Order: sequence, then C-alpha cells, then structure tokens
Amino acid sequence: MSVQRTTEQKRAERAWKAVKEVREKQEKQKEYLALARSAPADIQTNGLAQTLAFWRAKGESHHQALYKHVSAWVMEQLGHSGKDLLAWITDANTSSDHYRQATVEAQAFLVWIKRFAEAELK
Amino acid sequence: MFEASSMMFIYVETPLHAGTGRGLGGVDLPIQRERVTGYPIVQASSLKGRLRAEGRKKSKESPTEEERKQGWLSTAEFEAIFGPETERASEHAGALSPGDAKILLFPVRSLAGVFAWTTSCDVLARFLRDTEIVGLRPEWNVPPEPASGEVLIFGTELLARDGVVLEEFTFSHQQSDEIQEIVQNIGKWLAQNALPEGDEYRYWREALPNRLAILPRDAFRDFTVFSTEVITRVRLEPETKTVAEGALWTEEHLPVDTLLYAPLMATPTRAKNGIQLSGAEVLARVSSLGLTRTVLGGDETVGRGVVALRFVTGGAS
Repeated sequence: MSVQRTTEQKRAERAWKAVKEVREKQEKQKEYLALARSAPADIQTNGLAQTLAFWRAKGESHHQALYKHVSAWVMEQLGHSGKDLLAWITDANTSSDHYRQATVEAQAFLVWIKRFAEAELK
Repeated sequence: MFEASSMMFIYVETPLHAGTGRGLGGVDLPIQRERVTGYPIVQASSLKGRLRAEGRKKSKESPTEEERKQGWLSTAEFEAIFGPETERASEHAGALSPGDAKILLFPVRSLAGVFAWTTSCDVLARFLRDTEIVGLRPEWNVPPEPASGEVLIFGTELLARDGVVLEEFTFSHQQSDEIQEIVQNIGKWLAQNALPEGDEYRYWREALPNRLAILPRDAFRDFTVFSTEVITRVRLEPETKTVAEGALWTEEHLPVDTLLYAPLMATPTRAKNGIQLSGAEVLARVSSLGLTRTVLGGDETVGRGVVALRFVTGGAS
C-alpha cells in the first residue's frame, strides 16, 4: 500500500502541531484564535506581504506565533527552509510568480490552522 | 433533446454572492465554484429561478396587443415556458433550460489602467466550445498559452514601468504584433457581442480591448480564487450596539465588472393548455421580456447581485 501522503494531509499535520504548541505554551490563545480566524480574509483583501508586515508590526506573542508558523511552513514548501518568508518575498530575486505560489500555499495552510484553532483554543 | 439555444451574458454591476450556504475554508460563506477548475459559477437553478420570477412579473391573464409588443406573456404562455406552479409541478416540465453561468472575464486591480479584465486560454477555448453548442461563431482564435509570468495584452494602457502589475504581481508582456492583433480581435468581439447593449456601456465597450489581459491559466485560476471580494458582516445587539455573540462572518462575492455567460436551451412546450411554441419561439419570448437588468444570488436587500443581461442568438454575430 502506498504511504505517499497528500499535501493536504501534510498541511493538516503541521497545522495540528502548530495549534497544539499554542495550546500548550501560548498565553494569548484567544487572541491567536481571533487572528487565525481573520487571517485568510485579511490576506485575500490586503495581500500576503501586507498581512505579514502587519503581524510583524503588531508583534505581540500571538502575532509572532502565527507569523512563525506560516513563514516556516511556506518556506519549507517552496524549498527555502530556514529563510524568513517576508524577507524572501521582498527580495529582488523573488519573482511575482513565486510570490503568488507563496500566497496560495499560505492560504491553504491557514485554512487548517483556522479549523484546528477553532476546535482547540478557547 | 433541445431544439434551440442561445447565449445569455451576465455582467456583474454590484458584488454578486451566489453562495453555497456554508464553507470550511478561509471564508465563512464562499461562492459557488466548479469542482475541478475552481472557477466561480452561478448554478443553473439560480438562473432558472430568477428568469422564472421575471417572467411571472411580466405575465397576466390576457395582455393587450400593446402589452404583447412590449414582451408581456399570457399566464398560459408563462406556464408553458417556465412550467406550472409548484403544486401542479407534476403536470409537465417547462421548456426553458439554462446552463450554469461560467466565467469569461474576471476583473483584477491593475497598477496602470485601474483594472484589467483578465481571462485565460483555457477559458477562451471553453467559451468557443460553448458557443459552438449554441451556434454562435466568434471570428477569433485562442492565442498560444503565455509563458509563466507573462501576459498577453493589446496596446499600452495596462503597462506600468516593469510590465503589467495585477494586484501585487508583475507580469511581463509579449510584444509580437501578431499576438497583439489576436488580443485586440478578442477584445473587440467581446465588447460588441458580450458586453451589455445599453448606452451606459458605450465607454466600457471602447475600454475593453485596451484592458483585456490574457494570463497564464494557473495565474488566472489563482486570481479567481484569491482576488474575489471578501466582505465582513456583523449583526449588532440592538440594546448594546455591539456585535451579537457569533454574529461576525465573512462573505465572498464576485467583484463588480465580472462577465459570465450561460447557455439557454429550449425544447418545444409540453403544456396541454393550448399553447404550442417551438424551442426558438420560447427563446424569442424570453429575450423579448426586456430583461436588461436583474438580481442574482444572495443579499438582495443590501443591494448586492445587480447584473446586466444580454441575450444573443446564434448567427447574430
């Protein structure tokens, strides 16, 4: 039997880990939940870079946590493990096409984050 | 099988929410989409219901000669075309069958030219296929698929410094005269045949060829998925004027200036009430209802879903 897993399963697994980490370590769980809830719509309305920059500017621990989760996952998927997502987007060598792919990946990942956060965080 | 068919073009004038009722994705109330491509659609049943409602409004027991000229139907004709009222639904089927409304042009914010009407070779090729079914034969061909990160345009209106900037994404553009001409032809044809006919659209008919952007298919798909309008809504507690518990939600809408098309097909009428119309006559009656505007989808009472309509019969181009 094939053990190859779909990208969706991998996203779900990572999102589950991220939300579990928030539940165990993060003090601002309610705030993380609210931020995760609005994140997909924020990205759709304002763009990924704008949204990331906004989280970074706010800089409270729940902003930082969500930023870290999205950044790490998207960078890993695009083959730039260890790099910072916002820095990569704003880099002159990053093409528009790659930025679009990053947006798509971030949205797909955030759907899982949002769903698990709604289930696990109060 | 159907005896006659025509095309209905739907131009979105206020944000359109043809919803699915619930969603587990990023937006609480997403719009209807095709399963495979993810492109937005408006399901045939929504269109059929709306055309029926408009037909009912313009029918009466026995319209006068003058009213007939203005497109009024007799109640018997209305029933023969749209089918009987629910409690007698089993008597016979209606004669009119709309298909799903599919995407043709999707507006995207542009750094130059305010917005571009985007489309893709996939969409154009599919449109050609669908026009074949209804006997409408546009005199243009689908251009070659643009390379990743490229866009096909005509003229310079969409050109910003580095190319065409749509939302936050830059596309470089093709220079070849041949490509430019293809894009221009498509733009002109759509302006003349697919945009609404009214005088208020004259400006837009002229603008369309210059603001048409044919994108790589993946890029176009991503725009239709991630550049729709997301509107946040709340319900307030009347006493406190603060958000009621749980009453904050997001709704997805097709943006203003989206162009959709839906085939309309018709059989001869099946009613036993003395009305016998051929498929072509059924379509002619529907087109002459004088429907230049209607409302589709949800949120009607907050002004959403106003669309301009255009009915085009095969061979008319």
